[in-house]
Order: sequence, then C-alpha cells, then structure tokens
Amino acid sequence: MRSKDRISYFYDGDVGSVYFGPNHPMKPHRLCMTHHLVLSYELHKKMEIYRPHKAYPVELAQFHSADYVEFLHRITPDTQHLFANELSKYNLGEDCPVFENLFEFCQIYAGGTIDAARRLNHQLCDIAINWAGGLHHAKKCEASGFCYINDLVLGILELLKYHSRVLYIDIDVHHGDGVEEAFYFTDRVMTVSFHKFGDLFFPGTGDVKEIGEREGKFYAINVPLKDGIDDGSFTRLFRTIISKVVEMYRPGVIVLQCGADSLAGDRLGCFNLSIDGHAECVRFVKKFNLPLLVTGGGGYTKENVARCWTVETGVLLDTELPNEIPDNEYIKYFSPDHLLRIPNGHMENLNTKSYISTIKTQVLENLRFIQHAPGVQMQEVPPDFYIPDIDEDEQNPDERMNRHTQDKQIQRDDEHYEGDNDNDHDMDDA
Amino acid sequence: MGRWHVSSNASILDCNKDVDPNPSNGCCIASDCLVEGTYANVDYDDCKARIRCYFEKILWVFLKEIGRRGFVRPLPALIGEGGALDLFELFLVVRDKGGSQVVSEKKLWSSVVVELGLDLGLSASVKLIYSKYLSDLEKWLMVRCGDTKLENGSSDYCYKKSSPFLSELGAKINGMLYGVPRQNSIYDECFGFKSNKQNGNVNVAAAAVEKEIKFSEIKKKEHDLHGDVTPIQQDCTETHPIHVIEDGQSLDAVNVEAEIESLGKYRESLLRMLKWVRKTAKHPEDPLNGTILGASRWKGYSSDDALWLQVISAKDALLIRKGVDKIAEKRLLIQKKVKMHPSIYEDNIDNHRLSTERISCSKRFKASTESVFATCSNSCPTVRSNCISSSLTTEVGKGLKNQAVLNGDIPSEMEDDHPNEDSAEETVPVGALCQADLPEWTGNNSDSDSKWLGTRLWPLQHRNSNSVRDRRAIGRGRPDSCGCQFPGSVECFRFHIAEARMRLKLELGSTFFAWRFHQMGEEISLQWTAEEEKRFKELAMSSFNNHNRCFWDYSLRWFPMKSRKNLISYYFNVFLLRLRSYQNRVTPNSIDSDDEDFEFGCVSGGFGDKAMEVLGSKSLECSINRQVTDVE
Repeated sequence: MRSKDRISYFYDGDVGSVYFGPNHPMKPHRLCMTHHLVLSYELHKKMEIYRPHKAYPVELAQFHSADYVEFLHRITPDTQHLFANELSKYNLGEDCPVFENLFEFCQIYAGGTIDAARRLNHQLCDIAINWAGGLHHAKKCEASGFCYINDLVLGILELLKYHSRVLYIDIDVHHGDGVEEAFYFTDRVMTVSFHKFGDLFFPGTGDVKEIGEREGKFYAINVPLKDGIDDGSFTRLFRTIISKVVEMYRPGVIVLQCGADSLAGDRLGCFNLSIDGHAECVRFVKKFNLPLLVTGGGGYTKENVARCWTVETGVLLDTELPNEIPDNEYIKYFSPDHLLRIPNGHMENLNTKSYISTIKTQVLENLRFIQHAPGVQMQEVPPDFYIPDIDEDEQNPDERMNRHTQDKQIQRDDEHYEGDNDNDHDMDDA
Repeated sequence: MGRWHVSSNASILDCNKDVDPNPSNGCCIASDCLVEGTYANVDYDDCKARIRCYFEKILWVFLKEIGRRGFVRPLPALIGEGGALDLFELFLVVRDKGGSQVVSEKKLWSSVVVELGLDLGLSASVKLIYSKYLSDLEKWLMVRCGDTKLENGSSDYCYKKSSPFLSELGAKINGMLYGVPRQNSIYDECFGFKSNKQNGNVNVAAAAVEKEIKFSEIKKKEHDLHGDVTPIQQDCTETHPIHVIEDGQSLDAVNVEAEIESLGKYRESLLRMLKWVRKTAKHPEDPLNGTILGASRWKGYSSDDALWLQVISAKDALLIRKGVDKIAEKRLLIQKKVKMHPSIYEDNIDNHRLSTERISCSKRFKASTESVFATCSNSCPTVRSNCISSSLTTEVGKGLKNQAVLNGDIPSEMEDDHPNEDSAEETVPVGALCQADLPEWTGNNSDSDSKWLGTRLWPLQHRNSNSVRDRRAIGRGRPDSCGCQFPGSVECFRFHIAEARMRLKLELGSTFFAWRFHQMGEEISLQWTAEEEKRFKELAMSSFNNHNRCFWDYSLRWFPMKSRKNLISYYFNVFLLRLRSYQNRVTPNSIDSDDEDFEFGCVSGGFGDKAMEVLGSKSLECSINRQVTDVE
C-alpha cells in the first residue's frame, strides 16, 4: 500500500451561481458550500485543486448524440418556447428545466470528470475528485432526472482508453440507470448500483434481475433496497458485494458515484444512512488501492451534502475531521449545533434480514458466472492490487454464519464445473 | 408487456386525436370512407396523415415483434448524421416503384433517395434501413392482403401517383383492423386482447373501440361548448355513468360468450368506482371514503372491495397514456414520466401535501391519487375528457381481460398489468440510441488527450510546498475557546467568521477570486442598499409562498441594476442564510433551507459596521440562549 495518495480535486467557482429554478431540489450551490467547507477544514493543503476545462461539444458527443448536444448548446430559457417538440423529445422541461448557463454548467461538470479521468490515465494522481459530477441519469439522447450530460459515462469512456476494465459503483439513492444503460452490452465496464427500488421510485429501473445483455451479461449488478436502510445493513452488504466484485472482476480503475441523497433526512431520498455510514463505503473502496475517480451525484438537503462530501474528502485524504465545524461564511447553514455528523433519522428499516440476504444471494449467484466467462484481458492484473479484509468483528454472528453458508454453497455449486475449479485457485493465488 | 396492451388501446385513441384536428370525424370514419370507395371526398393530405398514423402503429408493433426475436430496430430510424428517416415516406416511394425487389433489381435506390430529398450518398444506408425495417413488413402486408394485383401489378404502380396506393394501404390496414381473420400474433398485439374467435367477434370489438372514440369526441365537443369550469366538472362526472353504460353495451356485444354475471359485476363495480370518485371529489374529508394505503400494502386488496384501488389503477393507466406520446413511444416506461421530484411542478399544492412528500418521493403517488381529478380540473376541459375517456378505455380493456380470464385463455403478457406490482417488468432500453459506442480494446494505450487536464489553481505555482507547520493544522475543527470578550456571542461569531475569511483570502491569493469566494457569504449584502434588500425579501416571500415560478423574472425587472447572477448569489448567500438564522433561533425544530416555501420573520439586520450595533442587542442574545440550549 502506498503511503500517501496523490489527490486531484476539481472545482470551478462558476457552479455556485447556477440555479435550476425556484423550488427545484437540485441546487448547485451545494457545491459551493462543499468547497467552502473543505477549505475551512483546510483540506486543500493536502491536495491539488484544479479548475476543469469546459468540455467541448465534441467531447460530450463521445457518448451523447450530436443533435442532443447541439440542442443543449443552442437552447436558452428565452427561446425554449419555440422548440416544444425538441424539448419533449429530449425530455427537457419539468425535471430537467432549461435555465441560464445550462450548457456551461454541463461543460463544467463533464469537463471535471473527463479531466479527472485523464489525470488518472496519465498517472498524475491516484484519486481524483469531482463533486460537481456524477449525474448518472442522463441518457444518450435525452436528459433525465436533473441530469443533462452523463459525465460518468464520458469519464469511463476516457478511462477505457487506458484500462481494460472499469468498475463503476453507485451509492446514490436512485438507480444509476444512465450509466448502466450505456454499458449494458459490454463486459469492459461493470456497473454496481445500490438504490431504492419499488413503489415507482425514480427511475423505476434497477431490479436485481437486470444483469446486462450480450457480452455485458452479468456485468451489471443491481442491489435494490427498500426504505430506511441503516448504516449497519448497508455497509455490510456493500462490503460483501464490492469485495467479491473486485475479487472476481479485477478492475483496473474504480469510479465511485457518491450521491448524497442516500443520507438520512434527504429531501428526496428515503434511506437512513448517517454520514459515517456513507463515508464508510468510500473508505472501503479506497482500501483497494486502485486508481479511483470519485464524483458527487444526488443530494437535496444541501447542508448535509456539503457535510457528507467534506467528510468523504477527508476520508480520501486519510484525515479524520473533528466534529465541530470551524467558523466560515456559511456557518449558519450548519447551525444550530455546527456539527459535521448528522444523526440518523428515526425510520423503520423496511429491509428485513431475509430480504437483504435474498438479494445478496442473488447478486453473488450472478457474480459466479463472470469467472466462467472471462472478458477481455482477464489475466491482466493491475498493480498494487489489494483486497482489504472484511472486518469480521463488525458483522453480527448470524450474518457471518450466512456468509459462511453462502461460501459453502458457492463452493458446492462450483463442483458442477469440475474443470474450471482450478481457475478459482489461480484467482486466489494472484 | 401488460403495459403495452393498455397503451396500444390508448394510443389508437391518441392517434385519432393527434392526427385529426377536427373532432367530429375520427380516423375510423375516414378509413370507412376508404373501404367504401368514397375516397375522393376526403382531403388527400388529411387521409395520408391518418394512414401514416396507422402505418406507424403497425410498423411499431411489427418492429416490436421482430425485436422480441432478438433483432433490435430502434425508432426513429436514423440516417446520415443522426437525422430521422421518414419510414412511411420511404415505404410509399418504394412501393410506388414496385416494391423493394423491383427497386433493387432496377437499381432505383438512388432515385428513391432523390425523391425523399436526401443526399445521394445515403442511398446505401436507405437501402439498409429499408431492408432492416420495412422489407419484412412489405412481405407481410402482401401476404396479408392476398392481393394479387399488388404482386403482378407493379408496373401499374410505377406510373400512378401515390394516392391509389395510399387508399389501398388504407384499405389494407383497415381491412386488417376490421374483419380479416386473425392468424398473426402481431395482430393480437395490435389490440392487446387475445381471443381466437371468429371475425364477427373482432368486428364487434373494433366497433366498440370505435364507438368509444366517437363518444369521447362528442363529449369533447360538448365540453368545448361549455364556458364555465365548475359546471363542466359536474357535467363531466355526471356523464360518466352514461358513458359506462354505453361501454357496457358495446362490451355486451363483445362478450357474446362471456358469462353475463361477470359483465354485470364489472359494470357495477365500475359504476361504484365512479360514484366513489364523485363522492370523494365532493367531500374529500369524508371518512366513509376509506383510507388509501401505500403501495406496499396493496396486496390483499382486490379492486372489487377497494374502490380507491380501482381509481388508482385507472390513474395508472392514465399515467401510462401520458408516457405514450409519439416521441417516447419506443420506451413505454411508465417510470420515464415519473418525476424525480414530486412537488415542483404543481402550482397549487397545499401544505399538507408538501409535508408528506418531503418524507419520501414515492409518497407522491399516494398524494396524487387523491387528486387525480383535481389535477384534471386544473387543465382545460378537453384534456380532462381525454383523461377520463382514456382511463375508461383502460377499463374497457380490463373488461376484455376479464373475459379472457373467464374463457380460461390468459395471455401471459397481461398478467403483470397490475398497478400494485412492485417489481414491474422494466427492461433496460437497448439499441444504438441507448448504449455508448465503445472503442475496441487494443491492449496498448490508445491516445488520450493530454491537453486538457485542468488548470491547477492550488497549490499556488509561485509558492513552495506547504511548510510542516501548516500541515499540522489540516482538518482542525472549531477551537474550544477564543479570546473574545464574550465567547459565543454574536459579535464573537462574526469576528471569527470575518477572521476566517481574511485568513483564507491571504492564503489563497488570486485563487480566492477564481473560486468566487469574494462572492460568498453575507458580505454580498454590502453591495445592496437596505431598500433593495427589503424589496427583495418582500418579493421573495410573496412569490414563493404563492408558488410563483416567475420570481426571477420579476426580480430581474425589479432590480434592473442587478444581473441574474447577482440575484441568485444574493439569494443563496444572504437571503437563505438569514432565513436560516431566523429558523435557527425561532423555530429550531423545523429547519429547512431547501424547501422554498417558508415562513420568515425578521431577526437580522444589515451588515458591515452597523451590524454589530443592531445584532448586539440584549434581547436577541437572550432569545438565542433560551431557544437553542445546545449551542456552545
């Protein structure tokens, strides 16, 4: 393990003044607050901060259709009434309003993620952070769920130039449908999304049965959850699944979408995670010591978003942050107690143990297939590969029991593939 | 699949309405004309548009069928640099020239391209698109029609205008819709019900749908004539039962073989449902209406014993119909139109709903169920009648489904058409319009632009790396004590905030401005006069509480000297912060600066030099300490 990671952090001061419209829950001002909080904890002294370039339309068209990008470029609030057909074609309007500087905003956040990916590609840093990015709903030809340009897809496409396999992890409360859809047919990107599913919760996709198609079959993982999941069950599930995924898939680089709407008390979310629980996922992913691209995402209670991403910046910098927020311009947003950690909400966890274990079993079951259908260059082992041990103490006994039984089960099932059993040993040894 | 069944019905209606600007003559009427040979009376373009509508319908079903066999054909078909190709025009042109085979043999593809007004270079792709999208359909239509004239009469068609063919296509499509014995599963899908009965039955079914259309159109007219909104609503609900009976009658005809009891039950429950809706609309608080449960608890209720569940089903069908606008047809995902954020778009939401919605997004559905009809009444009467007629169409569809169930013939795709199904079968959309184009992995590093890696703003170029002393300070929190005269007082707070700002400014140098820190914090208010601030606050309060979406436009007019950016910056940096101070002190239990629907008293005054005097007042300090005991 390297002693110290080089961190590149992307921020553009112009995002703070972007405004989606009255009562729209997406408030880019949260990025400004996050940056401010990061600086007031003096975390900037431990990292390099970059202003991203504004992505050019041609870069955005690497994923998006050229006509859509062109339309985003062209449309303004004053002219939108002339393009009713196009607006509905591209799903602009209600959830994704046309506002002043829309395209510039897209250019900034997409540019940030693309730059971050390029810095990782050129090994100029080990971890790149772009809290402005992570807009995972945007589709190739249309906007969706407050997302216009899918910076994650663009970033992953950039990473794919240097890495044979990219792992995408999404802990936003909403399903990362745009990214999953973009890479649904390929085994070069594995998408893993933890999200609320059911009750017609947006965007409605993300059932555990969606696993990818064609070459991409088994390379899309969905972990559908119900309301009110708490730190314990979420992080346990996260660690189990992610460690298995990394072990099996052996990605060259990881992209982590840290949507903060999975926190307790979010305006749109319905999970019950504390900031520590959320940050624990980041900490766990960091431990793999692979190149890591971290982006923001959802998050609609802006004080908590700023808190969460500040804590996570600290986690990535191996810096434990004291709970009392230092004085800064925005301190009033954090009143009355000026504390960094927010308490969990009082919510019923609708995810029963049996439900979680069913989901886990299904996911792990699907994961078994990928070793028997190795994708491109499975033998390439990235440098500094390291799987952290799961902290067994933190798991409760039944859970541990479950895991053991599960492992046994997997072992037993494997016996059907007699010839391939050797494969497993190779994997373990590597 | 269940979704498709519903929406196909709905979108047939849709088609009629979209294409036909004149409500009194629906598509089916026009097609009747075609059959009877009175084609000449109907305007050419008008008719073409209708046939186009049928054509697109059929093509879509057809492609879906093909798609199920594993060949994905996304719509619209794209050509060249992403422009959509009009498949209907292409089809017509090719048929005019005698079909694709003839065109290929005679090498006429380039002239086809010219007739379509496209670039000559695209002829290969046009041909490809034709073979992918249309050649099967062409073959199928030929077989379907059994029309020998078509097969041997290709030379005739070369010289005729397209109109005879149009009428033929119309007749063909028409024939397909009304009367041809059904052998093909495509046709079943076209209507969404599956019964292997004879022609007669199908004819009646078609007639029922037709009746439905006509009826809704007449009703629409009625509504258009009405001026007043309230009586219309009344009228609208009053006419339901009649409408239902009308439907019931047509259903009777359809249900030749179905048990009469089931029909009676169906009609009765529909009536009961509508009664319930009417009652609820009149007396929303009446406990007799029953409570509407959350989606998770729907199981165990059948739609017969819980009327609200029926209403929700109807509303769901309505939602689906909404999703089936022409552009979004390819997807048909109900969730597509599910809004990520529930409350922002509705103009008059009462506080009760706002507060429930904040808890969870999904709650919206519960809330909006209660107000389906309320929402309807906000829009114009035409729209409302549309809503209702389409929801009833769904009910008609359901009736047919009931019939199918009774006949012991349960089409599997209808099974999951149930609104309380949590795990609705949603598939990930696939096709060239959805997935990313991945570059082939070559093993060696392909070029990645190294030009744009971002501009480093920190650490500053001209400074040496941070000293050890600096590092120690990283990540420190709030100091436990300070040297202020009154620690914890407002003055103390202000002093430390200002101190932190100064320190940051010194440290960051030019970067301070690059990050727009000079536009952060309450200091912005120094650029505003007291008068302006007051005006902004008043305007904001009145606008937001009235859900006025034009607030920013108004405020731009009110403050001609300020740019939009200034206003927004003021809003976030000063206005909201002050709102928070108010909430922090006065209503510490309901703090929320994200909900722009607020109550805002006044505690804070101006800034700068005067701030100290105003805010240092005793009374204010007292109120802080009393209300919020856990502050320092």
